[in-house]
Amino acid sequence: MPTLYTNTYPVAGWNSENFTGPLTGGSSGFIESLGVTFQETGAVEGDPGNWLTGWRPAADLSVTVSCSPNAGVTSGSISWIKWDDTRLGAQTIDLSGGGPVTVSLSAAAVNADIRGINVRSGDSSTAHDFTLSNTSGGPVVGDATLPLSITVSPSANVVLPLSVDVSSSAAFSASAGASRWTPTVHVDGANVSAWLTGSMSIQAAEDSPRLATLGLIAQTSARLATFEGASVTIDLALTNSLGTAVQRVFTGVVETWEFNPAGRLVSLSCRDGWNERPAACLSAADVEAMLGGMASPAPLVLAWNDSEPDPSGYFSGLLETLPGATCIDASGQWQVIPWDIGSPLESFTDDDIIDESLSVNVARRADMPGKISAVLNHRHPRLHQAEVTLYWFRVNFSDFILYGFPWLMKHTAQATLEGLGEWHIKGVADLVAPAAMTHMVNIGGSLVPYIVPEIINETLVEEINVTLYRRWYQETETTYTYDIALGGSSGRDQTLSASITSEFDAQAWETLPTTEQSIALFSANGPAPTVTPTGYEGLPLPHPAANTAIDHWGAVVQGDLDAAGAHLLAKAVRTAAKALRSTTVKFSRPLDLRYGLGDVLSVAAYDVAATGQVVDLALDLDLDAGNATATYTLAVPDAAGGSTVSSATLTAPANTVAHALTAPTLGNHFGARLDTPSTFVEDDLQGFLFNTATTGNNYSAAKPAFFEQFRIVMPEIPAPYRGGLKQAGSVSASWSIAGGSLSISF
Amino acid sequence: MAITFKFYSDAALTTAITAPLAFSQATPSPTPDDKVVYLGSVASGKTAEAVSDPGVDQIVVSIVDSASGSGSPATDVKLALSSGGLSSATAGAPLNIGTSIASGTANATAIHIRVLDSTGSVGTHADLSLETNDLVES
Repeated sequence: MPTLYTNTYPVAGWNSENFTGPLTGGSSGFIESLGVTFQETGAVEGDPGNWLTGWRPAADLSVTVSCSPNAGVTSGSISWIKWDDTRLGAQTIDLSGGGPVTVSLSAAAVNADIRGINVRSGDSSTAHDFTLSNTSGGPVVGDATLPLSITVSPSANVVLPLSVDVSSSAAFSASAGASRWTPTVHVDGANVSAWLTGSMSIQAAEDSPRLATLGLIAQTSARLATFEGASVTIDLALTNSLGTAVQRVFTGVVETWEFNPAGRLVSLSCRDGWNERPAACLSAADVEAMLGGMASPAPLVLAWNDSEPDPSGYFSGLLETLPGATCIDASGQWQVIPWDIGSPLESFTDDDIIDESLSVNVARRADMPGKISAVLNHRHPRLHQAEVTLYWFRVNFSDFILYGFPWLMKHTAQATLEGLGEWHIKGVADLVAPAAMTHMVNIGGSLVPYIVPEIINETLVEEINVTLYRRWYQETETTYTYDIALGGSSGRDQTLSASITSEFDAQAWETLPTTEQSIALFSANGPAPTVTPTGYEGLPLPHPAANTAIDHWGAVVQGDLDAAGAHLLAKAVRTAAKALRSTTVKFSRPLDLRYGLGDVLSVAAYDVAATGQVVDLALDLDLDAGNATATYTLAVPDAAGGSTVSSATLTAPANTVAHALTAPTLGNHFGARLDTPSTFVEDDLQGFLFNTATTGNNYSAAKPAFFEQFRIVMPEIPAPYRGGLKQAGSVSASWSIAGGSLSISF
Repeated sequence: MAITFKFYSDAALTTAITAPLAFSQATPSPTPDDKVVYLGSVASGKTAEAVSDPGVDQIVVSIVDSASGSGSPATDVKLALSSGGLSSATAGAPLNIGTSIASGTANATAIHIRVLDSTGSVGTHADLSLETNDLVES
């Protein structure tokens, strides 16, 4: 086969401009290299990942090469070489001495992408290996980049305009004779006062949205579409000859509007966001904050569910424990109004109220139960533990000799002790083996040897000392009751109740083994136990003290119980207060902007004298006739307190359980002997039951014979400790309901 | 782009205050009128800091009187972070509320405001406002 010669045998490894070798390559045999091309490892023409792609040297490159064997001529050459084997900047080098030869390759010659450096020996038929010792270029020039990220954030100051309405008290003086009132209404920020017509009303009540109705002449049809949901503020100015008073009376939004095209009259019905505020809460803390910290939260009775929040439901539940009421005031501020009735801010007489406007509304019989009971049921297990100590001792050695009685085997005794169902061995049973020795037994005056053989003796037991324990649970319900006597005439009693349950797997507590159970597996050289033996290896915590019981509450703690009790009591107190506050006195007087929900007022007119707390306020204004009245409804509860409050702590009944179970007597009972009884009380047959050997003295096949066994019948648990238990806890509570006053005398 | 932080009527940030917050005072013998507002944002993952030195300088709520010499003076207003703090607060003084406020209801800052009229001048005085320093929201 002819030999092929090449001047461009590729040698990979020239991987940088400034390169330190040696990098040696060549070929002989079928293909013989007369020259090589030093190129980048893995080079691919045009690959942007190759350093030579796009490379144009900034300066001439110093290159040192050699060849082996020495070239036969002095006309070797070196150059850049392109991928199409076109040489650039070629120059002659003499490799007849083998090198190394250092030359400078022209940077200017590189006007296109090159494949590498091509070195040729100049020979025509001798294979050579070539070595690239090093290449050295000029300084590296390139661009460094630093990406920037510029974030433009908004900035501004936050502004809250204030409006301070300074009113002259004289504006409300009746001595002035006449007053002028002026409404200022803004809808969606625009002053629409000039277009008001007809009547206007504002009504506010406890635990309700504030409502407003007003009418105005629509200026454009386009305006109609902007009314729904528009913000609304209503201010009233009251002026007389003595002074002026300005008051914000409503802040809210338009809920609905009606249009009467005949007169282009738009009727706006507006309300504040009393319903929406609680619904927008995102956590229990948010809701509790809305109630001013005055409510009585109890997570076990009224739970907040993070996965399915119900803020409105949680708010409603907590509101039932609030000793007061909520509203949004005329300025749009959420308010919590304590049900406290102190001295009145103002006292009105006949001269101050509109004729015949006073009325008294007494609580309905149905609203007044005789008694309101707060009842909390707490379900939890009562965990019992009873212990019994057992003792047994063998028959005399003489009996073994005379009657051939068998020994009790350890495995038999152990199996019996471990097979007592719900009874467990405390610690380890002490099964005492007889000493391996020869016992000299006196039989009939003669000493007879009795041998207890070694090794065998360890399988026998002559004495048993063991404590067995049993535990069980009793479903227990502790009830805490507190009554609030209202003395209502309906004869109806009302009960507010709740139940909490201490979650605990009492069934597993009775039966499941613990990690301690493996402790008694090894008789010798066992692995060190990971837990310290308690004696109760076998069943999990808690371990009541011996022969006692504990009321196990699990995760429920006293604080939870007190919170639940306080919650229920607060609910009962609020229910009672609401019933008492349903007795009201109502009256109207000319527009008076000074008083609102929660204020305490007095009125004495028409044989009625009353002091109470404003629970409802209505302002009725007629723009056409000019009439303007304020109607106040006062709650006048018949109670003795100055404030409405409650508190409670609960105490569980003391647990005095003491078990005193009778341990069975473990004896030795022999069968098939002449003096074996014919009848037995089965319960007395406890201990070792065995038979006389057929070769023993006094053997009788006619007498009852036992299945050989170690028999134990444990005592039963007395009935009062087994069934469900209901018991009563005690409640220490204090409460009061703020009272008004009402007297009718004529 | 406006920042999302505003003054709200309630801790749950459901109702932004869009109208001037009204306080009522009687003359003679005015009594303090206390209200609480909440500065916060319902946007997600936002933080407001002082532009002057974010995260270092305090966010300050100041009482601004746009018409000094008429209406109500700034000293008729007290600010505090709690209702109990209003009694000892300095009338007219700004209130520092921290170096940053995060968005969300849990992070809204309650600002207690007390107004006690000193002018005895009957009418509606709309020259006062509460203003924060310039805040940057990120």
